Amino acid sequence: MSFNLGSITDRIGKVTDFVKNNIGDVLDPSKARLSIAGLLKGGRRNTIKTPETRVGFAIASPDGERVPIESDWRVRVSVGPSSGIFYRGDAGIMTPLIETDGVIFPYTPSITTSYSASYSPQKPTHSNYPAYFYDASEVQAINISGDYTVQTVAEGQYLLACIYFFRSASKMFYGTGQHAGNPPPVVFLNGYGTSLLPNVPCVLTSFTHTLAAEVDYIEIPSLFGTVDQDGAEQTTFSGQTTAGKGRTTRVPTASQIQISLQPVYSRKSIATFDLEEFAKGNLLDKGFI
Amino acid sequence: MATYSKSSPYFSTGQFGQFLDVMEYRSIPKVASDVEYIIDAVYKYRPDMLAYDLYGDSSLWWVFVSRNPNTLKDPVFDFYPGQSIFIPKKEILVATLGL
Repeated sequence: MSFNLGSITDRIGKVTDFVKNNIGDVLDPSKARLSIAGLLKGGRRNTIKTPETRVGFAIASPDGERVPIESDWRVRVSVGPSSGIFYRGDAGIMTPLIETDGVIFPYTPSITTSYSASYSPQKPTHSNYPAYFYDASEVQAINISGDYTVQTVAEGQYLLACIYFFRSASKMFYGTGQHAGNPPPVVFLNGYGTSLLPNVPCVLTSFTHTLAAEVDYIEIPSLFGTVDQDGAEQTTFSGQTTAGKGRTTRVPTASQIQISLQPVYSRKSIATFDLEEFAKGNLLDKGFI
Repeated sequence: MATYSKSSPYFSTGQFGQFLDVMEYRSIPKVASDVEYIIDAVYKYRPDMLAYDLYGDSSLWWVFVSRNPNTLKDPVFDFYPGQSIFIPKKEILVATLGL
């Protein structure tokens, strides 16, 4: 086996450069702050593409190009494409959800799905073994627990949008508004490709967001709908409106969101169910799991 | 009599004994190479820290106000996240302020 000292020296040099260029940013608070701000010393814009996940939540290829949302395998909760509600309507505070078409979990969430078949035991007199008679099968609520971290204004606004999405999805359309009288909306669960969570229609049965005491909270400007001089609504940073500054929110730098989604299927779609076709995977396009 | 450094906003202002004359504003020219920047949470109310990170001198905190007089009325409390400002390059400051 040959021993190439030059090659080893080159590799050590590359490791040293990597440490200087990357780890050094962590050790130097000034560089770390500028990195977050996307600036360089001297007042220049940092043109080196950093991973878009630092700011944007939309999926991007390694060269920074956006790819279709269908290719995003992350777990996503969305509303129907033609529903016209929440971020699909006048988005307001949910504007950050538009580019991801709903709420995505930036870190791999913990998901628990239970499938059950219930049987009623009948115990004939003087018998050793009860007889079981089938009642029904059920897909029980899907429990999802995911972490969110906030290091930038954009990430904070995304977390806020997620919170408002789940808050809203647990409520009925009550009082006024064009949808008044309707129950909470059906949401759709996607994730991990086409076969595991295939656009499952669900209703949100519980939502928990934990605001921990042991983490830092950072202040972000709130996104909200304002009215411009022509009377048209627009969404902007609060600090850039004539109303002035002040509408800010503090969000935790680390928090956890837990939701329970109960799969629901319309009677019409249930009528088309075929177990053999389901077993072949041919009913995935209808959201059956 | 104390003298103000070239990085001070009072460098051009005259002095009478221990008193300052009416402040002479040190304006920063607007050039096309200025970088537009939306203030991040890490620099909230801290123009001095941004000046230190960019130029290595926290006493240049006032250059952001001077470059963005219509946006930053208050040098500290208008420096909040979401606010959009223009940042001059260090070369411009060196040439303008004689650093």
